[in-house]
Amino acid sequence: MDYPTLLAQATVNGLVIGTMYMLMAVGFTLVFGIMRVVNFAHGEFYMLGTFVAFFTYAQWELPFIVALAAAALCIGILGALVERAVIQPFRTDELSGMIATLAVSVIIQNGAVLAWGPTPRSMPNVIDGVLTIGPFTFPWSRLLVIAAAALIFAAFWFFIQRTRIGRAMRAVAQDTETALIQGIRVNTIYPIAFGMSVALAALAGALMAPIFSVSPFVGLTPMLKAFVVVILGGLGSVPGAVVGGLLLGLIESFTATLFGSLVADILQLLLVILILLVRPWGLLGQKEA
Amino acid sequence: MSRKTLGYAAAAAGLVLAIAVPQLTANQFYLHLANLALLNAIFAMSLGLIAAVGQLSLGHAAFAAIGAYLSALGAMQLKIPPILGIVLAGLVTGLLAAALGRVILRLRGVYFVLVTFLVGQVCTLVALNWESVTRGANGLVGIPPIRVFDQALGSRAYFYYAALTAFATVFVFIWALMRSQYGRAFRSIAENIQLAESSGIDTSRYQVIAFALGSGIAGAAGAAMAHYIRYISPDTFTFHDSVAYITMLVVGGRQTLVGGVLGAAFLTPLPELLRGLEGVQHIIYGAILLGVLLFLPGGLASIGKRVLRRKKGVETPT
Amino acid sequence: MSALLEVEQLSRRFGGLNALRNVTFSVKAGEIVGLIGPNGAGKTTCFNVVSGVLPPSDGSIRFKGRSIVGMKPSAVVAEGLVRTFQATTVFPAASVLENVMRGAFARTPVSLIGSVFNTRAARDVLAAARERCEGLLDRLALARFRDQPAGELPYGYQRRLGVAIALAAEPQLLMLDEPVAGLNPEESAEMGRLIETVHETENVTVLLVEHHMRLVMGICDRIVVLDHGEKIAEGLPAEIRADRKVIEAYLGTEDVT
Repeated sequence: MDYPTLLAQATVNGLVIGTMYMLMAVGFTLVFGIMRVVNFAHGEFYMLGTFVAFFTYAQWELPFIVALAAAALCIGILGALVERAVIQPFRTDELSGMIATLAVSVIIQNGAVLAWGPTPRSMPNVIDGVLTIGPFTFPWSRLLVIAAAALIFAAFWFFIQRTRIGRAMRAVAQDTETALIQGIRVNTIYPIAFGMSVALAALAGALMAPIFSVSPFVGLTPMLKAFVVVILGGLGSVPGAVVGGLLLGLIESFTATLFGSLVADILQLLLVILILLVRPWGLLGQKEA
Repeated sequence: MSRKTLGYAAAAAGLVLAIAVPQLTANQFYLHLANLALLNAIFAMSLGLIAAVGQLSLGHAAFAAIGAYLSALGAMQLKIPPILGIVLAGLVTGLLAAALGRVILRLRGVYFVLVTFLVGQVCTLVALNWESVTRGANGLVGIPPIRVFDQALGSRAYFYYAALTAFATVFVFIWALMRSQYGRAFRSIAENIQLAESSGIDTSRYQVIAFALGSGIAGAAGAAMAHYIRYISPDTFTFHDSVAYITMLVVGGRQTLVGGVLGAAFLTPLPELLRGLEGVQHIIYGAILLGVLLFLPGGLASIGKRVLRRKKGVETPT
Repeated sequence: MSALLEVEQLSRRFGGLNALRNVTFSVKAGEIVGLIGPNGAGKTTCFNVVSGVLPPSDGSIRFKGRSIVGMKPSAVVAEGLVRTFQATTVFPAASVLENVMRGAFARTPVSLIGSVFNTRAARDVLAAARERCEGLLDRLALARFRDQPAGELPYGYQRRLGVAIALAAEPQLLMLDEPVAGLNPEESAEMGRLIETVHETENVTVLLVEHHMRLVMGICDRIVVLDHGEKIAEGLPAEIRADRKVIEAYLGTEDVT
């Protein structure tokens, strides 16, 4: 294979995982920004998303769009319930809240093992064929992921910017006390924000299910990457998560093509630890006053 | 009877009972569980030592792994006697943690948790990737057992006494430490780090001390585990083990030394008690953790206190 | 008498913002000095830089003739310069006595290893420290709360305990950061009396950052006024009250009465 083709492929692959990281990181950072909770169960909601897609699309043969909607809706509602039941009591104690998310992650992961077994399953592509532009060929299945992720993020952005609830969320993220004084009901905003956050993770999972595999253990890597992205972009910053996610996807795709992925992973983590130490508010984020 | 005598009496009774355990049962499996519980108690107590300065480490298993690999490699390649190897592994791990702690303990709260989580991930990846030394995913097989007076502690009963000695040593050490000026400094930092610093307590120094001691003890305990199960791989000490230690500490009670012990004693044999419910064990683990967080923030250790208070007729202040 | 604290040409920049610019003042042993200024004048920054919480961008700070620039806050405390905080004044879960024992940490000459082994020497030193702390609680009228968790004390008493924690470190210079912020007039007056009392009984020099004009005018020997990070006036309370620049700086924010 010649160089330009390799490069073009690496770019598309980079964008595919980049959009996945973006969706993961946006939700993760949203919850941290609004509720100051580091959600260690975030990856498990991604995993649940892959299963919802598997059952609706591969098993019951419903249209893929229905699979996406089902993933977002089911997991979103589940997330809101989880917030109400186990995150809310720790509003003033961020460490206990975080330990609670660890417990949730253990329960969800092992619940999935119990329900669906540990063996990975594979899922057929949503769309076959390739797009040929000059010397380059791109599989439609990957382009679909990129386009769908872009649409999902656009919808999310519209919601955050233009709706009443979205504005309320931003107000809470900026300053909880002032938001309270203005009459924003934190007790409704938090479950909605948490539900949206994990719905994004589930959508990422549903989109990725045909490309990667479906099993109870697929959540850890996306969560790890969400951490990395969010530290790059600044904990709590949505634009940081978008830029950081896409950037990380592309960098990873190129370095993995050049060096091999294990070394790339170690270097990546070391880099992130360094950033966390020097600029805990992120490469792209702003220092908190 | 004063609280102090009561405490000493309880400790003495516990010790006598603990010494008698191998006499009470010949069941090798129970002994194995007891050994794991003792090691887990050491992990949880040492994690509690770090938690005493208000920091939560999600990389505790990584330090256990470092100690385990150091001692195993030392015994296999340099023929270092395991007992010496365990002590050396603890020291080296502690020094590594001190060096790392000087840098990462600038962060507090969730940022510190994140960085320790990432450090743990790096350690797992290095163990997988550095095949010439760690044998990668295959792990190290045939690690020599601990020997005392030329007697290999191969049997579970012998190891039990070694582990019990180690456990008692660590328990008394941390107890004495927390009672001393060190403990005063640690608690001050956990409660109000700004005020601690302006009370003349060198907060970065004491945080590094707590982190290095806690991680060093975990390293030694990891080494002991390696010589006990005689096999280690990158899967022996993972993120999930770090979470398990946190679970034991929280379920037992974060505030007291006994907490980690209770948590380990309660949660280590639990999967066996639930053996009929294959697969549900971990879920119950998670549920217990959640339940304790929600309804018993002081952990199991606080039950005793509550009962004592009630007996005295004193209202429990919350 | 020579100056206990000499601050010279002190500057502190945050990014492009000059929070402090070439500020020079000194505090002599035995004085009560007030550091005042409108909101955002740089008082708290000045406090943080002098106590070692923030490094200065430029300038020198000498305490008892020796530079303390670059020292950790805990090392500055060991030198005899101790500060209080506006908001976080106590260790909430610990008993009142334990709070003060923690304050005395730097002045408890016990070998740490000795305290681990609980040697006789260590026990004696700690018993002496405890006695000293109980005496301090007595003098500050906090003795009756001795065994209560500090977080359960009424707010006014928590502020008082904050002063006691600082005094336990046996400072030569006590720096108080807005000691009456959030207190009602009665409590404020009481805090004013407390500052004057400890100034006498504990033999300590006081540097006070404060908003509350009546308190500052009432108890300070000398006042330094900051505005926009610069010193705009220094003098006796009567002089400050009549100073045009000071009045202009405060105009529309507070009265100088």
